[in-house]
Amino acid sequence: MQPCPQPPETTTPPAQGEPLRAPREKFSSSPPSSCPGGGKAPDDAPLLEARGLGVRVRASGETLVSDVSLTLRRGRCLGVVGESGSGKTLICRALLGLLPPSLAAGGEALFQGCDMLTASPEEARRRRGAGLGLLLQHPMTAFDPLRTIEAHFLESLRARRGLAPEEARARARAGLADMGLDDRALRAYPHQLSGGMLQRCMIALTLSLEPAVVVADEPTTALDARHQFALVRCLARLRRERALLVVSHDLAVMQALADDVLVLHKGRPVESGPAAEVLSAPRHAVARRLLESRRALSREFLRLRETQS
Amino acid sequence: MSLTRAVREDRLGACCLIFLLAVFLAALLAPWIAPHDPLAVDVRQKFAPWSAEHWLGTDHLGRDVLSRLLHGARATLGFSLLTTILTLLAGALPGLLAGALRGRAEAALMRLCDALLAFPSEALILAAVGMLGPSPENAALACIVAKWPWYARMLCVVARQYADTNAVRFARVMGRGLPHILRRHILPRAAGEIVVLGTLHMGSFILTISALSFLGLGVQPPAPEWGAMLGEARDAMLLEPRLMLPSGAAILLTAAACNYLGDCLRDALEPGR
Amino acid sequence: MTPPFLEARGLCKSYGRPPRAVLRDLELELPRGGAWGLLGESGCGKSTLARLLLGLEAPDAGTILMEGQPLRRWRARHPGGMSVVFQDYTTSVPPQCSVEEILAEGFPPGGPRPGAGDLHALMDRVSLPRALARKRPHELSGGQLQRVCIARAIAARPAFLVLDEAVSSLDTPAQARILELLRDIRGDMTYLFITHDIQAAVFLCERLLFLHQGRIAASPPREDLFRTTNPIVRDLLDNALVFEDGG
Repeated sequence: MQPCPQPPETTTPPAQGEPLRAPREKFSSSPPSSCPGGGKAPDDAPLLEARGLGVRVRASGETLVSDVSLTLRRGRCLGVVGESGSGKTLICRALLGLLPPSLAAGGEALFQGCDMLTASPEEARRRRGAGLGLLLQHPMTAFDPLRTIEAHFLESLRARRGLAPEEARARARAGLADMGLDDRALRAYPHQLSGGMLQRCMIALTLSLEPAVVVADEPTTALDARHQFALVRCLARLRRERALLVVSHDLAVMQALADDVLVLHKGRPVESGPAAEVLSAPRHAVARRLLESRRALSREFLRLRETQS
Repeated sequence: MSLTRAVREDRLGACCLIFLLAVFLAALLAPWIAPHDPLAVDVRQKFAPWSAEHWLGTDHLGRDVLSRLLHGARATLGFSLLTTILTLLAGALPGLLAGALRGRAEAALMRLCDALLAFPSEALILAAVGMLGPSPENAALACIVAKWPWYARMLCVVARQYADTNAVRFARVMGRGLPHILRRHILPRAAGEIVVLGTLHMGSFILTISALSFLGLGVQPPAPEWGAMLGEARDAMLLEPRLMLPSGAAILLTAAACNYLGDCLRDALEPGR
Repeated sequence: MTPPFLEARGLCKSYGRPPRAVLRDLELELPRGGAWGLLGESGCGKSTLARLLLGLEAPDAGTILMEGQPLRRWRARHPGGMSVVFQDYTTSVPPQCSVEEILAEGFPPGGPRPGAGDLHALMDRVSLPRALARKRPHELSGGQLQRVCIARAIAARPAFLVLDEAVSSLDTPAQARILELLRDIRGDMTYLFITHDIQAAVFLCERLLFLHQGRIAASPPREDLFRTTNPIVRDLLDNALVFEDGG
């Protein structure tokens, strides 16, 4: 509970001026040029695809996730929603070939045509490094405590993207600035930064590697509201050129980012469809519960905004 | 409790536990199950080979080795267990208290432990026994004096970790005192680690007590004790080397079983299992 | 004139070497009753302020008075008079204890031991099924465990309840249910609801306190929230991730 020793973060609010009312425009989501169903152009081949994906406990055979199929194309964002314990995180891990050894995956998880479930650990790691970015809920242990944030950036950008230190440093600065952090964070050691700041450093580092697919597992939970907003905006920008898989229980995040939504309940998909439909008129009880609770949480805020401005 | 499950899942760990229980039981029942009087000298029978009469033969005074081994287990294991428990108590109490209190109490205890741990413990034990005079009680006392800071330090860290949780903060907000916090929040969670530490160090205390008796500083002849038996066998090593086997194997196996069981239990406490 | 319920004057607190000031001359006055939202970015000192108000840590400078008495004396005279619910429910309970035993810890020390009836009444108040009484923390969901923490916190009928990011780790359905619960059980308790989420804050609280750089930067009533021009407040309002209905 000890607060962090120093917050080398800028206190200037992120650039404003966007209209408050329309969230989709607020996050600059120009719809992708390709039509949703068409798949003729080679560019439109799925980047990430799961067919009948399942996860079970090796020892007991208990099924945790079953029958999950999803397709992720360039320029699209797929949202996976569900209550806690619905298996959202397991799906992310299975898709990336990152399940713990006690769990076994079934079905197919294709990343750029390679099945991550059957690939050797070495092959899976190479594939992930080349084109997959993962944003975790609590990446606090992801940094080497003996090295500065800058060293992490320089090494990753050199190894993965072959960038010279100067170039890498410039990109690191830009990435951190996006997350509301300045040069002081670049020079800091991990222990000098708070959890939220480390989270943002991790996000900046992941995004600076320009992965083709970003998988974000509850990326906003460890952040405060301001930085949640900044991250969502950052992801929205990224979505236009890449593919994004976002996992969250918060429909506000989904509304801001997702083109399509998959609703999970107890490890099974219970509803899927375009975000606009699922988020306005959900059919399944779980989706309705998520929507009702989100509405209930925002209602007072929206009422005040309505009556006072 | 996860410790019992760990032993059930680890076959070798379970074997170690059963072996140790059997050894302790044999030690307890020694007066009834030993075939001969461990002190009965029969010089005509000296260095008798293994036979139906003397399963493990006889020593240089013709005493039955099996009987001496069983009676010796009482001394070796008894003093080791006593030493382990007393050392744990002597270290755990101040350690847990200091870890729960933090601040100056913790700093003072840690510096004291630093100072005491700066002496090599073997030298300290030898010096203490040398000053107090050779006897098993003094050997045990010396072990306690030399080893308690080590436990205090370990358990202070354990207690500090558990004292720094929201659960303890809530108890403090409710105005609960230190006894409640220790009893409810720290002792139950530290208990597992205390058991593990005890098991691991039981093995090393068996070695220390045997070593002191081997050197003639612990249990005094003619009373049987594994280390002392090994010492007596050494004198006849060239003549009858097999005499070293029973006591040597007993020390080795018991200490190894303690160590392995301790490791197995410690693995169970590691997070992520 | 009666003194305010809670009064903090010139609170300062620094951490680390070299010391970094987290709270700087913070002034705060709360009347009895009502729910107060304490908002601010992460690392702005919200939890530090909570620890000082709860008497878990001493301020470097400044005083805290409860009903005109120094905090320490007030706490001694009102055992169980203040309580707290933390964000991280898993570390808030001893893992080896059953729900019953955890709840029993919420009753004031030195008082009579709570009977089964007391515990059941308490579980009913927070809508916890009585069947959970003998379960252990790891068998409960996050929302259920946070209910246990809330029940434990209100067992002694505290006058002052600090909710330190009490819903931030829960999913939205659980958040909404817990916030409704907190609203329903408030009675004459005074809440200090610490959060970074302004939507949750206005859900529960009539007045909001904005903590910025170690001081209270603004304290608008809920009904004037959107009319304030304070840049700190505006920043949080404009950067809230809102679910736009029908949009």
